[in-house]
Amino acid sequence: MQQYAMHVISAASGTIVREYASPDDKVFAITWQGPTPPDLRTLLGEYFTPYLNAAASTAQTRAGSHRQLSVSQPDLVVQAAGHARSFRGRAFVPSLIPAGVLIDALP
Amino acid sequence: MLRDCRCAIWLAALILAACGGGGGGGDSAQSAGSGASADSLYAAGGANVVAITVGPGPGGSSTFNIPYTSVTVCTTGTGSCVTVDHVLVDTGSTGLRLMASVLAGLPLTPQADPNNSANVIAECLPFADGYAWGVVANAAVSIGGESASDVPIHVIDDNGSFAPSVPASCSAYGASLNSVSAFGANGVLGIGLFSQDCGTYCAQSNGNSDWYYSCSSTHCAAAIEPLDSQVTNPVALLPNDNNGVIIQLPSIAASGAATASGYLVFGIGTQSNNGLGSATVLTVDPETGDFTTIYGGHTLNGGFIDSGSNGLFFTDSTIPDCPSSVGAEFYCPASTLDLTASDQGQNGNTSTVSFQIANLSARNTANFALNDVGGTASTITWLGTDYFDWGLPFFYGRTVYTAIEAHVAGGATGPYFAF
Repeated sequence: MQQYAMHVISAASGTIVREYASPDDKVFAITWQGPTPPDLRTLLGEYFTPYLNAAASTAQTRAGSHRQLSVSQPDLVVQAAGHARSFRGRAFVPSLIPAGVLIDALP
Repeated sequence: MLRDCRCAIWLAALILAACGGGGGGGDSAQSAGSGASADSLYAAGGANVVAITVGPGPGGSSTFNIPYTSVTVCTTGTGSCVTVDHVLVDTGSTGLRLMASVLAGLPLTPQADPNNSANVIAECLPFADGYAWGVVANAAVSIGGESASDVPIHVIDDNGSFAPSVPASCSAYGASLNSVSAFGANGVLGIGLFSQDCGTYCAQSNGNSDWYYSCSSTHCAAAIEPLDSQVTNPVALLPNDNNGVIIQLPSIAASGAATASGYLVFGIGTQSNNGLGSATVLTVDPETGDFTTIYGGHTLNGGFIDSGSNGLFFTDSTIPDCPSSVGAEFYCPASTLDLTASDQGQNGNTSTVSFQIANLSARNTANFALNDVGGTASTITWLGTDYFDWGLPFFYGRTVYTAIEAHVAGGATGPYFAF
């Protein structure tokens, strides 16, 4: 039985986004790599505003660097890194990860 | 026993010559660890030498490890000028960006859209955690004794002076960084590896960049931006000394220093004071600007040297993160760690780097210069492209060269880092 489905989106910029969906078609994780960051508003959907709020709460510690961001909440993890022309990151909702899927082992 | 009186005199003279002589010599490059000092090649100054200060930011900003310099911006034509202090010196980005509020009163002319003269060009510069948004204008830029005219710069709209709203495709990157407090600085002097901040992608007719925009007074749409009009590395537009930069910061104690003073030097191998010396050249990927770092047995393809990062950021799950009161993005080991990594350029050259990571929560908060700050980076193991951000701690006690793409610098061709 397939534990998840993967869908690849190629942006015009060259940025590659991979969406991972559970058998009941819920996207539980995304990863990205490329010269620009992805459209997080579209990709995170209902989690975009919680992401913004979490990032805002830690913004002051990033005043000395905007090359990485780590949001780690019970139901939303966002890890982003990079600089212009080379960005990478991932986001996932722990409660939506299908049983038996290891988030760090996603291809 | 002396055989001849004259031999004794020559022998004594030789001994005196060997024991005398000042430190540093006149022609050798600084060896690792010696840093900026009275012996520094750059202490004598020069048109291509500018002071860098690591210390408190504008308005009492409390963020450590931000290297600052001053930049003077003048309008072309009228010759009105503004000198902006506390501008972040950033080898990790390209282009001069200044807050609109610190340029208030300077009659800059926004860059017109060549396809629609009623519109102006604006830029949404992406970061890992958000974006900086504002109009693009051309200006004359002076840094120290060197000047470039007609430099496209980014005016970050921190005061609502730019009428159109931020486009949705821009705010999709995350949080607005349109403020002095977001950067701990009045602006960013991006003097990294590239000539333009975006490059060919934003100049292509089939691109939809979400980077450059054509704006009326009310509405912005994504636009093509030719290379010559993009926000440009001011160094690349200098008449001379335009192939790269050198940054040198002094060695500091492991406990840190209240402030640190160093140098930003224009040009590599263009003057008597900016040769490569014995530095090792590491060429980088010409698309991404990254080299390879081997750490903890892992090969990381996203290594880069970044004066605009205030720590060394890399993945190591064995190092505890700091509590959120200090910042969970930083490391707080119980005691200072002695670590090593190896950097490798695309040209195959390698350099081993030893570094320390201290407990950030134990630091003296009066010290703005800290050479042992570390923090986390995201883990994308499947990509095999984890990154290693050699931020400002890497620069203390080093002379670091950043050479611009397609420029010959000291006999090697950029883009490269050397140290």
